[in-house]
Amino acid sequence: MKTTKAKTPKAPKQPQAHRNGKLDKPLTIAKIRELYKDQWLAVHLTKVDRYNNPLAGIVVANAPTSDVLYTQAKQYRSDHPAAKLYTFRAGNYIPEGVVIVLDICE
Amino acid sequence: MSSISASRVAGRFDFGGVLIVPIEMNGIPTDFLFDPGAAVTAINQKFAEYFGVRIDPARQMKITAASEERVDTFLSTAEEIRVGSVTRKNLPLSIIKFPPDFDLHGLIGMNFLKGLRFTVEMDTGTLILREPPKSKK
Repeated sequence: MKTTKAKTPKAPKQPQAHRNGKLDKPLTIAKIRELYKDQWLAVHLTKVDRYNNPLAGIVVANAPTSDVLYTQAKQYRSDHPAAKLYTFRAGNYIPEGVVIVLDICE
Repeated sequence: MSSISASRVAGRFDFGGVLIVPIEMNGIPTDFLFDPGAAVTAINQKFAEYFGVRIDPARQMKITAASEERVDTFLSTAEEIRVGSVTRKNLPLSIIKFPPDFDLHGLIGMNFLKGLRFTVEMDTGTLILREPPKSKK
């Protein structure tokens, strides 16, 4: 009689900082954008250039929506008040098909 | 304002060709839209608290888009905004309710750029901010 192992469902992707309870090694921001396409991200910055452009960091939270991401980011900032936590979306902010025309006058 | 002679801000183009640049709002890094068509720098109301911007209901202003519509909005002050090497302190800031599916953090307007020369490299998405040369007397 053949037996087949029941497939264990894959665990959802955890923020890197939470894997093994320790921080993973930093990645470049370009690589992070590539790996987490269309996700909202909180990245603990480890390197910026002389103009303050973010270059590398550790992903500490990722989420499909900004609401979820900012809940996690608030918690991380409260636990690590000295961290430079860069929050951004790895993908377009502007929904496809929407053309933005913003003028703000006093 | 404190700055070095030229600052190269590595931005990227979003849908429709608008420029998104990294900034720091009250010391917290994020992305804003670069919008020299806006008179006032603005933040999305849903993110204001996270970035330490207080909403004072007593301070209001009117904003208008390219259409005829005028909207009442709140006026606040950013203790510090940094773009590249340029820092502005106590900058007037509008607090705007963006549409729900429109999750921009905010936008950098002309009140931030006042007194600077700026250039956008359309091939690289880089914003260059410069102080103008001091005039000789």
